[in-house]
Amino acid sequence: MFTEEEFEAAARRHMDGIFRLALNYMGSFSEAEDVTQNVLIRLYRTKKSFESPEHLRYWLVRVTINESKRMLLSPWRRAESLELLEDSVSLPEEKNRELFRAVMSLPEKYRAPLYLYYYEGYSTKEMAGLLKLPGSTVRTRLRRGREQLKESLGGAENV
Amino acid sequence: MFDKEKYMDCFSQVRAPADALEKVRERLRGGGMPRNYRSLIIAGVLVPLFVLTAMAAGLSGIFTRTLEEGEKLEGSMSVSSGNGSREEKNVSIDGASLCLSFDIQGECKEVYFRPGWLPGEEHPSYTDEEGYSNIIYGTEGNKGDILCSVTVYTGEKLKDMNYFFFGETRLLVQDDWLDWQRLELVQSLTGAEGEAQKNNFLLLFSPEHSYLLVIAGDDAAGTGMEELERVAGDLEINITDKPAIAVKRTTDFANISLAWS
Repeated sequence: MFTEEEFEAAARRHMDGIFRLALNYMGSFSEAEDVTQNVLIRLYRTKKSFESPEHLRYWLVRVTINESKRMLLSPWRRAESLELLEDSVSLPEEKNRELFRAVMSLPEKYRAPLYLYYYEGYSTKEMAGLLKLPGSTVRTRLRRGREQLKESLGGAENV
Repeated sequence: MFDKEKYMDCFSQVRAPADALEKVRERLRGGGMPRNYRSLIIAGVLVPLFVLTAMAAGLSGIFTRTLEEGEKLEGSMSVSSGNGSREEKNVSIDGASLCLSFDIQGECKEVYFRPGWLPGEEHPSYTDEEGYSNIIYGTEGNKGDILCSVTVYTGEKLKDMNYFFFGETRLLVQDDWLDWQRLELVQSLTGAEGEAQKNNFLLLFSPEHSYLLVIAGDDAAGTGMEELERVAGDLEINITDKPAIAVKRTTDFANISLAWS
């Protein structure tokens, strides 16, 4: 169980990561915000003891995935246009806005594997455990996501 | 062009709203709530749209139907006509109270589980690496009350089938829980010698992987919903790459029960 100070420190350290992963699932700024809040509340209330910072990060990623999936199945989803999402995220540079648009235009099933692989640095084997998917499915989704990004951004991929 | 550095550069600039932590504090104090709950009023309008969207997105679904008292469950059964051929006959079943049917999308895989905790077994000794599709155990050398039963039904077993419960069935919970759509129900039956039986069931359906977990326990053995939820929370699920074995059926309905097989 966390003390108030430990919770505050852990929440500040991880909330951007939680939000980014949730955004990749939900494709909605406001829903990603709700997921982030729910995950932080789970963190506050957990009685689990974490063996290492990596263990805590893994747990948060897993809880964020579960919470996002739960919200995806919720009957009261909110529709949010890509333009509105872009405005909410407000990236200053055009090159990043272009990539963000391309990523968020992908089907949801490709976005989370791309995020976990390229941003969080998980291996496809670790991702299979996190996403509860066969390794072959994870690899296929990564490949297809990359291919679609390459197509929409133009030029060769360099990964 | 797409590369890792550009991806990192782009998403490193995506930040959670600055007041996210403050909103969490408010909710922990009981003063705030997420937007979802503020949107409840429009939920009723959106539900049918959601169901259509989920199906269009390739997700599977579970449907429940509570039968009226005295209502018969109608189904069909393939029977041998004696000369080696088979014919379809309509049959009806009395005494069913709840019926489950499924919309199964996509290819179904073999699914196994390994328990991490079971009632009366703090460290269950189930060591099969691939996992299990069914376990059942109980008191008195596995003859008495059933402490726990866990069964997984793959999408192939759910396709075009109606699974029903006999007796009086009360549906207590129907919601989303972890990765599953959850049903919690209590079944009351009268035994062969007139004794009252109460069975607790936790049903978990995966819309993404099209399998159903049925976790159940006998109330008399002390297995309640809390224990069943703990069993579920500690299960390790193995969704294999193997296509689920197609099931050859003679009927389009089957009983779900808590009994020694």
